[in-house]
Amino acid sequence: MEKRQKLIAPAERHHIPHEILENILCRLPAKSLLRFKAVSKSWKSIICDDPGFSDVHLRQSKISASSSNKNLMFWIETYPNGNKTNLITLQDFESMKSRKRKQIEFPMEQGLHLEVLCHCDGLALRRTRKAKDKTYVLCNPSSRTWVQFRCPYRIYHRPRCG
Amino acid sequence: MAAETGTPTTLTLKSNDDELFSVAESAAILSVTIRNMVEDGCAGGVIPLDNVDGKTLASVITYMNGISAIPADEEKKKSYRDKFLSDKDFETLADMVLAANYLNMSCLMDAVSAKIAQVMEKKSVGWVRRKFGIENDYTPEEEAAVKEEHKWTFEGVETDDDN
Repeated sequence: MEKRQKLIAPAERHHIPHEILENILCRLPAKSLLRFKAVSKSWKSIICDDPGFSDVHLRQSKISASSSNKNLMFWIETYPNGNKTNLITLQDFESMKSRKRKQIEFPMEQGLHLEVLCHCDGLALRRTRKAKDKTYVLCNPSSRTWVQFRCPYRIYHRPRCG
Repeated sequence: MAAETGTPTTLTLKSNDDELFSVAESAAILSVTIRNMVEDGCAGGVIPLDNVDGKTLASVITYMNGISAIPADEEKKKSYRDKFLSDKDFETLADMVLAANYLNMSCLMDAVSAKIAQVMEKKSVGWVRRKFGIENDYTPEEEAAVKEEHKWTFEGVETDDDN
């Protein structure tokens, strides 16, 4: 009876309860989380369908960014290159001098020539440079996802950070 | 419960495989579970910890002694935690996160969770399934579709040869 512990297979022994699993997953970068959606249906539902988890993940990202002095600021450039990709450059504001950058390819419709209006919590709101065009794009560089929408009325605004 | 003189009080902890450990009360009460027992006067004899095995408990006690010897300096505590966890493998970390949860030690819990996340970051889906003991409940078609959705996240993943 006392030996019960040794008879349990390691994988079973390490069955991690849901709340502990969430506490681990919320510390992973978006890239790993999106990959781990493929682990199982329940992992996918924690990662994608639980708004509480998204909040915890955002809060945790901010804590770890501030404790490691990584104040990631957007510094976005787009290079329409004939393909269906634009190049986005994220620049760590603190390390401007060291030119430490993270470049990612971002699928985007061509010919929009976007500028960043503002950003908040890792999302950037972008707009076409053409003044008459009312097309906006809200994008999330961490998950490489974006939505495009049109604003029915005209707004005058200056770029600002959030 | 209370020490009448200046001599430090020692508690005896018992693991679920019947190993006994002596630990200074001042270090042991980092665990809220143990602190509550001490405050309720239930810590007179041996404190049984039914969810922690001897190997893990020995490691947790090393941590308790190490961290409580550091004065209130968050930087030093953090670097102690990093060093303490640096050579631990996944199995040990998984045992420790469960023990930290049971013992209600939030600082250890957070540090181990962060370490596990760091270990997992570049691992494959198969590695995660094996280590966490998770059954793949997708059909091959469903799995392919989920993977296709975020193809780029599979770039730069470590090769899947376990440890």
